[in-house]
Amino acid sequence: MQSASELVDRWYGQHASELYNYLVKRCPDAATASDLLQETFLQVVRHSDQLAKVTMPRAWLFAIARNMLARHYRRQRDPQAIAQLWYEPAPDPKDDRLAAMQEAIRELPAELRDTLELRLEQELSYEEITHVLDIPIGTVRSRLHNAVRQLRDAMRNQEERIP
Amino acid sequence: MKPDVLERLLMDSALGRLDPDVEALLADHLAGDPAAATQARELQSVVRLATDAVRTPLPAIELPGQIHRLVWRRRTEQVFALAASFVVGAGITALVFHANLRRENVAASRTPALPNSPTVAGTRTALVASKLDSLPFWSNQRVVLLAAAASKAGADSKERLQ
Repeated sequence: MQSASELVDRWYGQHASELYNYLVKRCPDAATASDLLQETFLQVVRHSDQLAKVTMPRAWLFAIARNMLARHYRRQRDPQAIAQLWYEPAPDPKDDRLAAMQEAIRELPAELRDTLELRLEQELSYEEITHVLDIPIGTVRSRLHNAVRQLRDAMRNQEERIP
Repeated sequence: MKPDVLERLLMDSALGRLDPDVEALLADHLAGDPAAATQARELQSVVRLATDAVRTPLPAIELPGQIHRLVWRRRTEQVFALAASFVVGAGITALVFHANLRRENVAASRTPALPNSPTVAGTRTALVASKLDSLPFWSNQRVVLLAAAASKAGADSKERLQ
């Protein structure tokens, strides 16, 4: 049986980098991402008496990081800033298909984009996504399917436009 | 297989969700259904491209041992919280103590002096006793009343002796 501090240390070693990557893509600068990562693990330390009950640590950490990010943008009091919760990559000018896909992802409704990114970017399982977004697994599945369907249609349209 | 069921299976397959045994069954089905196989390839291509689009490589970062700093930060927070609650508690106690003392002084200055007759003295003792009963055991008011009653009793006994 590991102590709480050993567990926190282990989770930090295992997941801090990917959480930082998740945060830094959605923050205006690296310093904010670093602060939010600290806040995330501070929350973990604060709940150290409940760590043994956590069944999906990775999903739990992502959920906390996401909440920290949302709180950060709420504090900005800027309705546009909250959109940063969903990562918007810069279009790649070298690859037309990739640029079109990035554009199609940007056009997705926010909740579909969020779910899709957790699956494809962070490689979270459906079950882990249910924990992060606090939605039923059926909703995760339907959001992912809808997202893929919309992206497929967008790519078909793009291929029709460019013969 | 119904088209909507097949599409759901193809989606889950493209998203890497299917169990290996279901994946094998689906592969068998696709071998005999070229249209579905084309659909499967298209979905896989879309998911692969979407994965490339969302996964932008980032420079490798080195995270310092912040975790120990966090533990210390948490402990500092707890110490400050304890200290703050102690200060607030002590402050409230001091305020209550002073307020009680002031109330007692005001009450004592407004109470008319009772004549020293045995009947009046008895009534006063009864009044004090009933007031003492109504007060909490550790209240300042009770201590002040007890002290006042004791000094009054001392003075009465001296007068009677003279």
